[in-house]
Amino acid sequence: MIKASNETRLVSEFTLKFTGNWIIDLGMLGFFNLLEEIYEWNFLETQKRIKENEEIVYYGIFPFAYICSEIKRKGSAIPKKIIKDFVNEIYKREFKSKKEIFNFTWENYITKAATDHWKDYIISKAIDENKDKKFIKGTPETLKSLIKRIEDFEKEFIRKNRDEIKKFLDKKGKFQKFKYEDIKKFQDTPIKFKEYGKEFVKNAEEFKRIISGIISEVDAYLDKKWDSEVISNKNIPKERAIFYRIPIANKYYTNFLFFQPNYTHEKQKKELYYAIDSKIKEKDVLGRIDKTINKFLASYDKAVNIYYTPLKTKYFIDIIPYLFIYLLCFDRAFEYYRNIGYLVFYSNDIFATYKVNKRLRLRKSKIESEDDPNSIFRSTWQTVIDTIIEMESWWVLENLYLIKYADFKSKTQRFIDVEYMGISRLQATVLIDEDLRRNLNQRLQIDEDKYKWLFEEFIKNKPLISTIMNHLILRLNQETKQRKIQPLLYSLALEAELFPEYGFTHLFEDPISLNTKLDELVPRIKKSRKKMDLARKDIKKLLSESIRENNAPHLFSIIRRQNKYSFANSLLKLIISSQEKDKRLIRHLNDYIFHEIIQNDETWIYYALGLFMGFIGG
Amino acid sequence: MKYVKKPISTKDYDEIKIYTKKAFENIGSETYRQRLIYKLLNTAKVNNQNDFFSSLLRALNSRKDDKNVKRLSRKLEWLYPLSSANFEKVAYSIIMGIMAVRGE
Repeated sequence: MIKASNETRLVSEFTLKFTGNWIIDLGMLGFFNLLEEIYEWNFLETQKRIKENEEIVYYGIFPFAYICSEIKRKGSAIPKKIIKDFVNEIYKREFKSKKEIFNFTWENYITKAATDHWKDYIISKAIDENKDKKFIKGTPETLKSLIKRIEDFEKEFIRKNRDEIKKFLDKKGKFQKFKYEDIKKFQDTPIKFKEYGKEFVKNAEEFKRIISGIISEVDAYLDKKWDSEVISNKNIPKERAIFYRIPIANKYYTNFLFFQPNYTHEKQKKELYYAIDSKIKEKDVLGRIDKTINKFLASYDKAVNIYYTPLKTKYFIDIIPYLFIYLLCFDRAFEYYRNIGYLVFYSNDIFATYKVNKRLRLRKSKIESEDDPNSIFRSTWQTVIDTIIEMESWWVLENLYLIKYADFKSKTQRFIDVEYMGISRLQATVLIDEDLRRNLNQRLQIDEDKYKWLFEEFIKNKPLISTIMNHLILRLNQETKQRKIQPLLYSLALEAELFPEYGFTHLFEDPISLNTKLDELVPRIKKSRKKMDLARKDIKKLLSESIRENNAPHLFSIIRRQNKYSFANSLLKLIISSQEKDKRLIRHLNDYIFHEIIQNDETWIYYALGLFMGFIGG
Repeated sequence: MKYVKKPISTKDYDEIKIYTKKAFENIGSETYRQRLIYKLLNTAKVNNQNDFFSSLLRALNSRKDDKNVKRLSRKLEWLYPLSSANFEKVAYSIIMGIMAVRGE
């Protein structure tokens, strides 16, 4: 029943395994997600690469991916060719130290990948924020004068066509100056001739032509500067150290380390290296990391944080290599779902966690399109079950969490919910069986517009019989279109076999006797289901449709009143009045009523309902 | 009515049903048995032990020398008188025993 497959044995050989601390573990997951995003490596590929050459992965592959991903978050693209070239190059070279790997990565490839984003940032900053001549420290004069030319031309254009410009840009109030995005709009959106008139179109075309000319001049100038002074350059001119800062910011880790807006390019580089090489002795670095990255762990005094003890990173850094890499990747474990927030599935197994989350992402549009707030719970379960069946890692079932965040802003970092999804071994045993799982994976209508998912009721330990009763009321009143019988029978058989009398109340006390019981459970449920199904078919054969229809409401109400003998009495009267000649059928039905209903004081109602299914359509 | 609480097991009910079936295999026609069952069901429904047993014994009396009838009588003698809860189970075991004849 609970077995370890080849794949799960493989899991234990993974280089990178979960630690048990969920923040660190989710950071690891985020780390895998990051490498998958940038290099399209799946989980196994990354594990393999770590095993082959750990230092290349952590000091080269990681920092490049991390910066690329931050740049992508800002809306800039990273040319695929740069990524490909980088991977080829780094695996070809010989390095003497990890520092050398890191420097090579940063100087040659991170800078190259950041070029377009940096240029865009510098141009927009220069255009948007130079009102008080506040250029970024170290901005070269050439750039300033180019920006000045844009401004002069802009002023002229605004003076001539202020109203049309406002209309075109959808601006209200005073309009004095173009923002970078306004210029972009002029460059990208065609102007409707009829709407704005000949003169404006002519002026706008002229504006576009000249501005585009200047901007490409700026672009070429910046390209040249970056290329000559930053890429592959160890000695960036001091006066332009802030000017050449890689413009990345992360709302979750605002102002932390290399995200600081007043850091120089060189300092960003140094701080990222510190973060990777987490065995840093400098106390202030550790302190800063505690304060920012690690709000949950260190905010014991300040925040309402009852879930955690005031742990500090210094206790972890010797045990968990590359700890800060994982902490930095924490937010990358989560996926944003419309109407739900940021969400991640977490279990004790790294591979299962990775797989379930990946599959949830594939189902994202379906999850988002459903109105029911429980749809994520359903989808998660579906995905968890599918994954676990495939991996045969049943133990994961006992340790599942769904973690939801409202947002990833540094100030809020607010949880919405951590939902424990774990289920007992008993439930796991039942769900492993394909027939049972398929039949419980059904939504039963129980009211005009209310449905219940049998699976969910079962794992939440809610009685299935009440759902079935409610559903049967609808069936009897012809208020539902649902016609399925087997899910009802499986549910009844399952619950009959799990009846407390049969010793499933102390599930976690005696694993040895429990194992035997669990082994027998599924075959027993199936046997009961089969008996019920046969009795149901017998009834259908024995009694005409009109007799069944006329008697169904009465019999159902007796069952609901839990009056066993009254039920038997009415049922037997119907049976003796029939002219059925099939002796086998009579014998079987007789035995069923005698053993499963008359003699059965505990679970007769499940069997009565099973037989009763013969009275309703389907 | 005073009665001693006897432990009645599943086996006892099984025996009652089997003996009843065997006894009634040789008693009356299908229609006769059907009528009897109706009667027994009605008395069982109102938990009337006296009427139930008098109808049953009257039917058994016609073949009191039959060995199966004897076995059933002895069993019932041992059980009687019954608590109302036990009576229902015994009564339905008997009824189902008679009904089982039709399945043979």
